[in-house]
Amino acid sequence: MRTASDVVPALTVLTRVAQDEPEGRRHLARALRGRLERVGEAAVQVAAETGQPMGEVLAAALKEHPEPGLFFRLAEVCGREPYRHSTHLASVALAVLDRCVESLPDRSDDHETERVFCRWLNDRGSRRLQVGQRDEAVSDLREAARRRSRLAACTGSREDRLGHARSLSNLAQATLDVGRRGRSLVIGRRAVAAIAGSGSAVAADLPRLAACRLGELPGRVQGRRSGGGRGASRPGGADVKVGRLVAFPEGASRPGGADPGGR
Amino acid sequence: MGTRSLVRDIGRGLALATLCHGFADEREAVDQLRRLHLFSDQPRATVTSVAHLLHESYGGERWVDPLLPDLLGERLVYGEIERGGGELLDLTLGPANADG
Repeated sequence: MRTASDVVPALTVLTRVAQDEPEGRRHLARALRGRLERVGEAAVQVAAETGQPMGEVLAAALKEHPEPGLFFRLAEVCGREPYRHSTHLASVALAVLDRCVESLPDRSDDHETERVFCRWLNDRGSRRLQVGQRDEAVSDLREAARRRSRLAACTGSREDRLGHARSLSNLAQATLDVGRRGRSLVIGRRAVAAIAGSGSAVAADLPRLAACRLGELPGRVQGRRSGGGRGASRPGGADVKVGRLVAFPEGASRPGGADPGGR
Repeated sequence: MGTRSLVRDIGRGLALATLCHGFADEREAVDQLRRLHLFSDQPRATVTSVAHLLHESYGGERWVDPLLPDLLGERLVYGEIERGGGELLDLTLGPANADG
């Protein structure tokens, strides 16, 4: 019986063939058809490491797959490092998370189910941001932040408060991406407040993180801060906070971030 | 088994080795080759001879290495699948079923 890792070399070769031969894509689709339960995780690995067209072919194959169990498994795989920020996996992750969000029953009274649902919403929003579906990303991230806020209020747990802060952080980035800078700033401040109130170790580092990220801010934001534009009249460091939040540990919405599979 | 057929059969065996990232030892090579339709009714001695031929020609880090450089190996695999080598997918990925 071949294991998941045993099939990685074959899928890698087939993906490379498909990169060079137009007909190779058809063979790759044929290789996945009827085998997704067995090779799904390996296909995700190959998509991240070898690149297209594996991600596109896998995403198309997943849309025909009936069993939700596979999608739950792949959502976990796509959400882990080093796949979390892989742009090659964007279409796969979106196909997976769409099905996950559709498949989970609405059980907001069950905290664990709600926690998982919120994570999927947050991840889908981040992936949508990655592929340029900005308005849809804002919608997902806003809903994730809203539900996580309610969850954190119910449970009072540090994990849920930090989850809420993460969703706000990603929402701030998405809102900035759709051009709503003022709104992004407001949400960014709420994220900072949520982090500070989360009791997380990160909270203690907020001032230091804000300072050390100053040199890493995008030129656009730096320019506004030092160039005397409209942003210069705002309270000092406000844009810094938004910029820093992009680099927050669970900032899954970093578009154009380092892609482990981008070789 | 004519010469032309033998060369083609060895090609398919090497394509299988390429998809499997090579064969670790003689036993694995023979076992894998015997799963190919074209070797399934051949005497074990014949298959073992083919395995040794592959080892002597393509042995390296593994008892039989994948065909290198990669581009050649990929070209070989593509050609074999185009020639009806769908069994290569079953042998390396497992049989397709109704799971999707």
